[in-house]
Amino acid sequence: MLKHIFFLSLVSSLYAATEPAQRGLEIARQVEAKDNGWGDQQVQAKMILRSPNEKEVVRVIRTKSLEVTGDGDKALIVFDQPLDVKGTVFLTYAHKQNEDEQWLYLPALNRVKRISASNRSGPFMGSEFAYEDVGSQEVEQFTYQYLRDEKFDNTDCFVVERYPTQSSSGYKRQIVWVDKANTRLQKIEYYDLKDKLLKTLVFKKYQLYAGKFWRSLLWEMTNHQTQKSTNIEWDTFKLKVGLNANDFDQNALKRVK
Amino acid sequence: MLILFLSLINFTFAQNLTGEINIEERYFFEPGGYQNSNQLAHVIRIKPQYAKSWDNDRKSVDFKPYLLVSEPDQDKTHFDIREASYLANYDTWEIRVGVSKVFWGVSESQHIVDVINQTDLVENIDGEQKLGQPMIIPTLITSVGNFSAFILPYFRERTFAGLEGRLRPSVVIKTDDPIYINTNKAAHVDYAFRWSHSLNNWDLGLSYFKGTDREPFFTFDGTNFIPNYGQAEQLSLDTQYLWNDFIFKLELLSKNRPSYKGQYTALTTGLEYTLNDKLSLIYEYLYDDRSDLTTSILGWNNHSFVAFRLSMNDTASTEFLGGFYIENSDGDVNLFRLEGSRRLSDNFKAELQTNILIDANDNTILVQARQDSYAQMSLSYFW
Repeated sequence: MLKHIFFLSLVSSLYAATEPAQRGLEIARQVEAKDNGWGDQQVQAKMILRSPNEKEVVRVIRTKSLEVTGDGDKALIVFDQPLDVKGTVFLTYAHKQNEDEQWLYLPALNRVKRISASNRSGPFMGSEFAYEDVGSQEVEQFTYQYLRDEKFDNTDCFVVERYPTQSSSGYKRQIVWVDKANTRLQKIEYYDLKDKLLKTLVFKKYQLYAGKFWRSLLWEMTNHQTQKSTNIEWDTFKLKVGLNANDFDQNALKRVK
Repeated sequence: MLILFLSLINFTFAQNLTGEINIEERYFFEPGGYQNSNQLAHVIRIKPQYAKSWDNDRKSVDFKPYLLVSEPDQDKTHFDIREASYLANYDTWEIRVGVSKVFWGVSESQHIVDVINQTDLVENIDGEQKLGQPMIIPTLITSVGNFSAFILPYFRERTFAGLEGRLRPSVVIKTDDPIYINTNKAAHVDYAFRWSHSLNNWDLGLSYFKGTDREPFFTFDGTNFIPNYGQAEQLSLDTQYLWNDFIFKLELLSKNRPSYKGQYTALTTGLEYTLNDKLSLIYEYLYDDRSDLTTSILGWNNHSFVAFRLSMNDTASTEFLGGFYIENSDGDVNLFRLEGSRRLSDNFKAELQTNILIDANDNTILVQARQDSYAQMSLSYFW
């Protein structure tokens, strides 16, 4: 009898452990499934970098992305401003299992440079966004834990914790708020490798494209450890412009002007 | 209506028109030994650019004239078209036509494989700056890599410092009237082929080149050195492999120069280790089996390159790159180079650089430049 009780409690504790993990993964899959089929997109953006004691700094970028079925997405970021880095292009192939692949095109040397994955945790153009924050985020790049239901900004949300699987990540964990009605990311809290709260990203101004795809037009990132912040103001997204894999290979980096 | 149309054209044109003006002050720690005693050298560079792409960036044009004005070494003053090219992609193939620049290679310390463009040596002894090269490059894009052919209808001569210039041998290299071994001279059509491929963590490039040798040898006319441009044929491999925070690199070259001492082999191999998002360390081994290095700029033949790259990741993009070239046989440092840069505002950027030439390799063209160590500061304005 005692043996049975022990067995039951073991099973239930195992169940309790796997159930939030399963639920967290399901929510992440729903977020991805809802956005399936966007194909390709193109958008311009302005980044505004703020620091307590310094003047505001503005960056202008353009991005192109390609949805890849069966693996991670491909993305290309063109730097337009500041002018000394104009024409620099950053290319990423996100992967579900392996580390992402990254290249940087340096226009002054006409050179495409391969970049090791370790730079993913570094700041993107000196902003509060890391390269890994602006890149494509695949379901498989994290393990999950459902935490609770909670209201954020008067919206009913699922709160899910996720742990990066790629060793190049600069985070121990992230906590994600996903709204129940439209399964869109509302907020992400980033914890550094020492598990201290580092940054908070809030997604604002959601807009619906092609009746199906939600895009947040304002990303507000605050660094709690340095008090610096960066906003990304996205311009109008252009979906399904007809991009294909050739627009995302190393040759393409030399053509983007 | 017409005015609106014209102002629209003007607006899009202006948007694609950018450029840079750069002022550089170079200070040599010692006076030169050969009628080039000036310790200060001034340079102004003007680099406008018109660039535009359309059809989802599958077609693009790029135009970059370039002017360098130098004092006191007026022989260094030169105008060049760095780019005047059209680049078009048609799904499985691509073509580049015009004056342009092509980079081959993976290493940081030297670029032995990179042969298409001539080195603009008066710019910097690091050999990173290149002259525009007229070219036609059709490329076939396949699942097993890119196959490119290079047709190079005109040859560019290497630039060298003049009488009053520093970083030159005791005898001035006279560039006015070089000797060509081939009767077609600069009009000789050179060509090359290249296959390159990326396989996950592995990048590979295999290249063949036949044509006018970018690296001249010298004859003495009683007063000056005269550059001699022979014909050369070369086969090269450049490859890199990514493993965790390491990038392993290899460049291998086999070159034959029938008009000057025949065949030689050179290689650069090493690794780059990224410690974190700020700091990476580089080690490269440089080898060249020639016993006569008079045609080589710095003559690395059995040397180590130990370097670091530090990016502060701040909004000013503060960066440092420092490296030692060490002679393996005795452990002596031959050259130390340090570069730093920082953005001052949206339009201004400052750069610092120093090259400390301690002991160039014997028989190289720069062996007599021991007194030419320098530090320089430059300021760029971008519009």
